[in-house]
Amino acid sequence: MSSTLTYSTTVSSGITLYRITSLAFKSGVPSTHSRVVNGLGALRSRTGARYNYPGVRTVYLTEDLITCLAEKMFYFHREVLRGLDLSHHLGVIPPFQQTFVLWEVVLKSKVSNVADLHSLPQFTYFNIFPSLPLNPSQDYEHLKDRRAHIQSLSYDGLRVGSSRNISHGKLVVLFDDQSSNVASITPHDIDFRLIADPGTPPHDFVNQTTQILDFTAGEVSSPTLALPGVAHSGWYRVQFNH
Amino acid sequence: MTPVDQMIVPDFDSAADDSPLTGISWLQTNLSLSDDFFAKVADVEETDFSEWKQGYLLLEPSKIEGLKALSSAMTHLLSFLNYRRDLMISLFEFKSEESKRTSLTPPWVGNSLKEYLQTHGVNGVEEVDQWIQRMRWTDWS
Repeated sequence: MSSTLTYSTTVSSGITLYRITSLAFKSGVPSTHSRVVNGLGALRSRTGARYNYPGVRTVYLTEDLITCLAEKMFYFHREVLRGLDLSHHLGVIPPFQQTFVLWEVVLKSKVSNVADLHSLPQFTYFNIFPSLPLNPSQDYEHLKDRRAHIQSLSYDGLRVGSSRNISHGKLVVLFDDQSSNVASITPHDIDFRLIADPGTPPHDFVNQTTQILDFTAGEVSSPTLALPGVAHSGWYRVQFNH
Repeated sequence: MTPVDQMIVPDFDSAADDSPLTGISWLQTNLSLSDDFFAKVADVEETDFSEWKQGYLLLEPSKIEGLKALSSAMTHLLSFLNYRRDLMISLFEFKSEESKRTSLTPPWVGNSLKEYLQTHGVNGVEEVDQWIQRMRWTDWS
């Protein structure tokens, strides 16, 4: 297929893209790591996600590290808070500091025909309400529907601003399995932790009965990943739209 | 980093494996779950389950699918707890009080998770897996 679809862009080979998963994806031999980008999680999902209905293969990546961290920080906060909310039923609370795997992914071949959703003419062309991709508070049926529409027009993915990153770095949402299109994939263990409002020390959030959570940010630390302005294994503040 | 000795991270892909045997064996080893527990969830005789594990007996495809679903649901719960063995065991055993139910209430309310799965079998597994996926990935409204 040609790359002449209206408002399309190309995800280049050779550039680094980012994704965060649970630790289980790293437990196999390195040759299995490319399953991180096979899109099966979305295919097997009962609930769907921001740009996919349930049961639709989708690979979610980001163009930059900070956007990836902000996206994950949103879900980390949300899951822990939901666990806290239901702890009287569960008998446990999810840990306030958790370890995940950040993957640096380089594709072998470019992916063309990616709908580029970055300004009003593009949103208008694809009949997308431009506010909805940027609202962090919930996912919308409208966006799932528009993704299906975009795919029906023979696009192979979409590129759109992240609702969680305060500077709206870009998500890359690909519609096909990319596990055979990986030039390199590098895992980094990365810890996420909640932090407290400065008025309720200590700095890290460790006691839900005496501290108030900072709802606008959390922190990450990695023994192998270079984080901007942070010494080795130091903590990096990740702001996100709550 | 979270102390490694507190974490149990599956080294198998429950969704990709044709047989749930690897996952079930891993769960038994790491969460001290008995043959009796799995046999009750899958609704088979304990001796049949034990012989299946040892390769002496084939179980019906529907029972195999039920065990696969159980293995998958358990890995989703483990991921929610960041693979903390101590928390997973507590979650399994904790018996909450019966209360008014909403779409977000765990389906096992009024029982322990372990009792609920043993009593409700594969349907209970389905309910638990749906709940954890709602918990993690959907908007609450």
